[in-house]
Amino acid sequence: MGSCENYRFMITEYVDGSLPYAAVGALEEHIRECAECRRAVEETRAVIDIVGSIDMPAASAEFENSLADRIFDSLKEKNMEPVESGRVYEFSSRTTGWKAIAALAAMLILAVGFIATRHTRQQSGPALSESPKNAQTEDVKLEALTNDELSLALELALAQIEADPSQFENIELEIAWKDIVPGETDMTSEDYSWLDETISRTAATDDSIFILLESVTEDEAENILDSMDDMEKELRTSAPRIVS
Amino acid sequence: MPEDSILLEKVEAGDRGAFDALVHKYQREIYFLALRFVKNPEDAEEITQQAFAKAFEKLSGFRGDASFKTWLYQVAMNQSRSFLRKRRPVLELNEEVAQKPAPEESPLGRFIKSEAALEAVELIEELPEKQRNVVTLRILHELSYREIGKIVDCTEQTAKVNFHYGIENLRKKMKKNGLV
Repeated sequence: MGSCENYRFMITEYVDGSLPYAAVGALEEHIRECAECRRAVEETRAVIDIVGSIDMPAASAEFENSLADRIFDSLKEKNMEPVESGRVYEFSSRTTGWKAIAALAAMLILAVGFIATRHTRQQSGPALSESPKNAQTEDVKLEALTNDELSLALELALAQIEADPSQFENIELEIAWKDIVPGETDMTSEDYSWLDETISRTAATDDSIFILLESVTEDEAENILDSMDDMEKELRTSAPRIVS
Repeated sequence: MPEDSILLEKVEAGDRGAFDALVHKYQREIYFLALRFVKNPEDAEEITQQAFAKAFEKLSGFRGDASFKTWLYQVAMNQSRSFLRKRRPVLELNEEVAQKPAPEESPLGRFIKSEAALEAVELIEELPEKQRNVVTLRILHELSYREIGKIVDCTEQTAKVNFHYGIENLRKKMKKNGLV
């Protein structure tokens, strides 16, 4: 008979049903010979049965019946409810550095592309009968680029925006602010400086922030969009909304 | 009930029915998890709602390396802990509130049929937090060690060890109290 202490852990696993099959035979053989361990098995079984007899209390029926609606409404307030076009709610908090930059670059480019579209529509007239403030948020699938392409796209976007920041309407972007916390991504101090200089924070929620960003000319936007021809990965984000 | 992954795909495609189905599927166990932490039905309801909302908001946070269920549990546990952190100083300052409620006032106790189970609730509360969490997640929520490990952020083996010590502690306490 081995030391009973060596069997204690196995006994818990045995009663719990998680003891590897290969070890069951040896333990059962020991239990047959050892009264103390037999008792330990019975007691462990009794403990688990008693704990298992605790009922899982339910919340009130009113709460259970209304919970889904309440959750949906709270998401809707944040404009994060599931929508038909399949918007992803937010970028992952585990996004790595380059992905954060990718997301930012994608949004910048998207913003540029979007504003160019708006600009065109404004010139042609009818589409802008709708107030920009009421413009619907659109869900857009945007494919990301390779790292090199992203760097290029980001550089282009930054350069274009810096070149002429005032010609177009402001665009509201929502990004997961914590995804670009200094020290947690690969973003350089220049990237942060640029963010600080270029954007103005207009509203913050717990985890995200709305950003006002000024965009570029239509031609410049076309150039940037042209640089996105070879896309590899899919990145989904919500489109910017015009806020003024 | 379809697999969570199928429901999630539908949710992302804007299917409100799938959204409701996911909430209904887990609302009771998440409420119970929260109740076990905060001991108050109203607070547990609030945490349940917050946990679901947050889990849906951050869906991308669990993709690829976990299930919706473990993700939801993780969020609910964090929300509960966060709630307790915020509440604790207030309780400590307020002697009247901090007084231990009589057993018959226990929100869990109201639903427990046997004396032994009622006593077990109190003994579980005396366990170190890690053991308490693993014991309840394993026995009452019927989760696998793998799921538990993901939820409490430890390895499967560590979850097993904590379960063992939790059960051993309970066995000694219950033996002393004549329950086993």
